[in-house]
Amino acid sequence: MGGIRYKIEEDKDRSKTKSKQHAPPVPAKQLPQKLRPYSPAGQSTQMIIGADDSNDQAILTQSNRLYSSYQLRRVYYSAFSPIPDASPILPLKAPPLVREHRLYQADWLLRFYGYSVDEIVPHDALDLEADPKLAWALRNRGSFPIDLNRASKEWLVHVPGLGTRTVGRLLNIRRYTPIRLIDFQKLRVSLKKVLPFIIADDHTPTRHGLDSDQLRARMITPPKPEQLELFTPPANDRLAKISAVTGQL
Amino acid sequence: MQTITIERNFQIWRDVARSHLQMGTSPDELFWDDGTAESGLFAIETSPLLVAEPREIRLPRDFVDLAKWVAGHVDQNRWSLLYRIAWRIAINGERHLLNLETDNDVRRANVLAKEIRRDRHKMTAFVRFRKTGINPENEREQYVAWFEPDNFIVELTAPFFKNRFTSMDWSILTPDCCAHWDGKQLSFTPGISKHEAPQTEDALDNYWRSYYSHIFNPARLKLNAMRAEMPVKYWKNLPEAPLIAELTKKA
Repeated sequence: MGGIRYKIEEDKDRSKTKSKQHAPPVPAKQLPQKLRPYSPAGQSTQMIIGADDSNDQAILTQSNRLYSSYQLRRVYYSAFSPIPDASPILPLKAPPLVREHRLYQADWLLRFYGYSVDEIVPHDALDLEADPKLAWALRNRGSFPIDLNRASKEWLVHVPGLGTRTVGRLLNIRRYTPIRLIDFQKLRVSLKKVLPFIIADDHTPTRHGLDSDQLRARMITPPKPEQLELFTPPANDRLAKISAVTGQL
Repeated sequence: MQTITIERNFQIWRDVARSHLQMGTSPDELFWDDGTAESGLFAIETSPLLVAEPREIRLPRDFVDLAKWVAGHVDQNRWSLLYRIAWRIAINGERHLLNLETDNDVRRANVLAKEIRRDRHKMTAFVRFRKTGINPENEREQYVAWFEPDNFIVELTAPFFKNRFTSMDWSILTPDCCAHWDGKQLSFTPGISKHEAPQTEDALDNYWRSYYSHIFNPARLKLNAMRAEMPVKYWKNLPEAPLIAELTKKA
């Protein structure tokens, strides 16, 4: 990985110091091998989640390092999925898919929302029930409510329910007119998510908002409890079939 | 109130709108008819007010880009919407109106523009050409396609096909307008109805259907996602559409 990063940087420096060509641009495929840009799309990698005992903090710390020191374009997270006759050091069960989803959300927070790894994962694991941004907001209620008409962009993106695009639109709008609640409906922002955390021109949060014990319960939708069946129907997956035939667990 | 009829040409609207903006006509004084509405109620012609000297009109480039997209929509009120926005920017002093995404007029215009962009994108995917022959003079292959767009997007999409299929002669026939490419220039003729369009299939149709049924992966079938990418309204002119019901049943 370090070797590729070095070559990419070397290539960029070389193209910067080259004298300006006056010929019309030629597609890269037609250039001779020596002049072609090295890996123009950058470098990316993939991590398998749940195959070993790395916790989310270790995974995200590693991702952060890859993005900053190695200048990686993108890190992909794939949930581990077990196969029959696998090595005994591998687990038998796949991790919950929600964990992969939370890792992607955390990855976005690292790259585009200015969060640090300690802010997203103060303990070992990411919260599976709440997305990382909401979880951070619930842990740091002292920083809220945020005034939409005065706060900086860095603070506005910390509000649950506001993404980078919506914040860009709000910044455009507030140069000319104060932001009111009706604007959220027009921008298709979920008022339920946003309301406890913001001050708008015509809204300040009530005391049932941030100080309430029920805030977390109101904001997250708990997963539906699985209704287990009395007689479990025969499993359909390959593992079970192989196990039934060979007797191997 | 003055009635102006503009059928579908953005350039004509642009010139008429510019002259009215220079005179300072307010949007309430104009009724823009796009040739489809039965304008019984508003057909009161009055002479336009003449102002001593026309003022200089400056509109941001974003507005012109937006207007070119909105002009392709079938919405009857698009011309009056565009004029109202132009008037508010140029004469009413709301120079940064297009930044205010929550303004109702701007929102409506953005919604229309987005629909047109999506329509145009889908058109580039779902036009199906059939070979009709080879031109004996210059050995170029000739293709014909029948398509039924919801909006006036043929002029907007034809340049894509020109760049994609430059070395073939093709025609895209629609009820709205027909586009033709002969290797040298793009031309447009009035639209035709479905029974005037050639209905023949060519030899490749069977290969295409066979290919489609073989690459159809039943393990990855997700009907909602499929219908979002390939809306059902386009199915009637796709040769592979009749196969879909059968393939989904088998999956």
